[in-house]
Amino acid sequence: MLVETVGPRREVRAADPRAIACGIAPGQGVADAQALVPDLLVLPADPAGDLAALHKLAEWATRFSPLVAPDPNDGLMLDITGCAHLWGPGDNGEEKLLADALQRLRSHGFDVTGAIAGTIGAAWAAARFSQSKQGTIIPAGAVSGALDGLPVQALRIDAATADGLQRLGLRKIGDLYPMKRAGLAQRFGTTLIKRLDQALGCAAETLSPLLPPPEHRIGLGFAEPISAPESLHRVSEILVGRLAKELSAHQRGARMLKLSAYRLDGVVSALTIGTARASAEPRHLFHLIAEKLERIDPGPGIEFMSLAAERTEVVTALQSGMIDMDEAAVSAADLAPLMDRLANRLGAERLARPIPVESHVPERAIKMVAPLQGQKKVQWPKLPPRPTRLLPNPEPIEVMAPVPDDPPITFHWRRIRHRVVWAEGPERVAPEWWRPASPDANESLETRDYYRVQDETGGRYWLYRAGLYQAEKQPRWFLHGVFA
Amino acid sequence: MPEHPALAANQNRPASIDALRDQVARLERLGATTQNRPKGPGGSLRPVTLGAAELDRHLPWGGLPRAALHEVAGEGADREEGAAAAGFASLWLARLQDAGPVLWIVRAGCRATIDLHAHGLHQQQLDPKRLILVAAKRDDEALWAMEEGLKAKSLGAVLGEVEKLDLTASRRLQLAAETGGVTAFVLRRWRLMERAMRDAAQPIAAVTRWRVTALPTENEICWQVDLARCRGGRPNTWIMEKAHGSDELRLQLQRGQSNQHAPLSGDLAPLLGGRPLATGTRTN
Repeated sequence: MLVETVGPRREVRAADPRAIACGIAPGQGVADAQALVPDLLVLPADPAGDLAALHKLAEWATRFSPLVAPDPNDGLMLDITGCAHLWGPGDNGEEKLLADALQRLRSHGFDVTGAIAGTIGAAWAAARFSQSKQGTIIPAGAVSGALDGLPVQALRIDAATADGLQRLGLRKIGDLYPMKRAGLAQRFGTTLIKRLDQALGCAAETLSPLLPPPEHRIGLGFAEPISAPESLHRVSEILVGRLAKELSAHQRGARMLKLSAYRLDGVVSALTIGTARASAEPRHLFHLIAEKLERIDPGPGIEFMSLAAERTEVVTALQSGMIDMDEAAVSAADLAPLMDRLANRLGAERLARPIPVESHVPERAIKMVAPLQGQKKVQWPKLPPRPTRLLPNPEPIEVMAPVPDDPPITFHWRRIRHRVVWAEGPERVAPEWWRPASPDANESLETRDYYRVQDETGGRYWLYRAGLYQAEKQPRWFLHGVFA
Repeated sequence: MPEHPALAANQNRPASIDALRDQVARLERLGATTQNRPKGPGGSLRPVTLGAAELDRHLPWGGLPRAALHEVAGEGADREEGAAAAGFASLWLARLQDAGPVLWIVRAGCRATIDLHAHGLHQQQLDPKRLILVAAKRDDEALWAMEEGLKAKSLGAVLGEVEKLDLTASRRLQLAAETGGVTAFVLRRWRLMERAMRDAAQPIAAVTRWRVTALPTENEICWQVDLARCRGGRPNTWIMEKAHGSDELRLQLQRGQSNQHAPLSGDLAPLLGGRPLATGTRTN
């Protein structure tokens, strides 16, 4: 028996069949229950854990249909439109699908019932209130007939409404059909009418699936569970081949692929890959997947695998007029696979192509963009000498400057003392007050006077003094770059 | 010891020596991929030339061979900073960009902390439009990325900033460069000076190994360039300069003394510090 604390009272939340047989019911006080059965096993309920488990189960259920919505506290809803034929022809398919799902869930130790119906409401009602062990299938057009014998609670209404209906003698759903809708709505609110309409298919209702449905998806089930790396390899190859075929038939390419492995123990192990440009090239896609395949943990064995194109794009040639010729060279066909391999292993944020930005502030004068991202034609401006290495963050240095407005004669950087033998400048960089302030607002909103200095060994550095010269204030100096 | 054919003057070289050199090149597998990979405007694997005749001629191939591994490292503080080394490498890379974009693997945590400055490289003639940067946190990442890059035949060159490089790893790179036909550079950048001193002299399988030392100058650049090792060639030292303000790169090459630390010529003596030389340019 599971117990939940509601306010000051500890209530029974769930009980197993044997406890129910002894007269214990959810909602009862724990003290009452223990009075009934003294040697009751009382455990605290874990609603968050239950919900998480339900989500995991929903993920597992995507093997039957990509559209799965968890229905707390104890249900899963699957939109199997267009999926049933994979299990068998005609209505036979639905039957087999339901039987397969129930049998698999039972083998994982769940106590389940199920139903297939044309509406969410009807399936919900039939799954919970018809007593059939092998599940119920309500054929299209027979919804109202199938529902009229079920109690009103099957309409997904709250307990108070159900109580009220029962007090009026309306015990079954069928009792509601002849009633005046306006009267019902007035007495019990519009929810009841809405639920009734939804169950009967007079009002629309949609699932909000756990995961957005992929645009293209290929699945493969195995007679014997697989777990050897070679088998995984082979299966992924087959999946990629089929998906690529399907994608190219639709003239689309994958930007994101998800490979899911459904394990015997109900766990789903998945990996995701991204591509820099839409691709339907099986060898390329397979290469990306193979690199990460070791992240799939086969556990006790995999019984089903699916590969879904989570994001696809139309494969098009680059519009050459918009894009710089050099850019076109950078995005040459051969490079997309390389970029994907690098991004796949190192992460997309590690790849960059520098783009000039019109800004006097040196660290802003370059923007790093994704390598194959199309860019308008840009001109690289002619600037005064610039260092080959620019520190991402200017480093404060200790300087000795005889005249405050002059470049220093010595400075310390990274514990090394540099004697300046030659200096050039200043190049004044005014703050760009019109730009949003960076985290170190002080730094970027100060005028900088840049100097190129050379030390006695020949090292050339880019130093700047932050802020305008003020007689009473000690000027602050920074090292920002190293010249070639 | 007979003089190496490479050192003989280019003109009136007997044809038999040319044939021998070709044979040696084949044995060394340099340029072995000529047939299956047309490169550059001439459709051949012509060596890369800096346009500085004396340096180009000194190399046994008449320039830097493509599809091979080359090493560039700074000296002194530049072992850590890698600024002069990056500048020198840019000169070569710029001349390889007509064959394809350049992949530069920088030592950085992510895109935002890359310390390579594209404007600065642009001033060393590298075209940033044909430059792709990769941030690698560790040497193994950088080496892996280099190898992947060398397989991409449409790249012009691959440069990787690497701290530790042993014989095996460099052989792998050299082999990848040969098979892919892409020219590879390792830019050695050490975090610790002691490490640098120890590592820099370790043998690696690069075809050429360059050392760059920034020298005091009024010019935009002035480097002492040491060719420390050259397969089939002799080490040498030059002073390389580029004049200020000129857009076009002018390289003055002087054959330095054969010892590593060639003294400077008098006219390059530094000026006194604390005195701005040129009138400041104001960007405001």
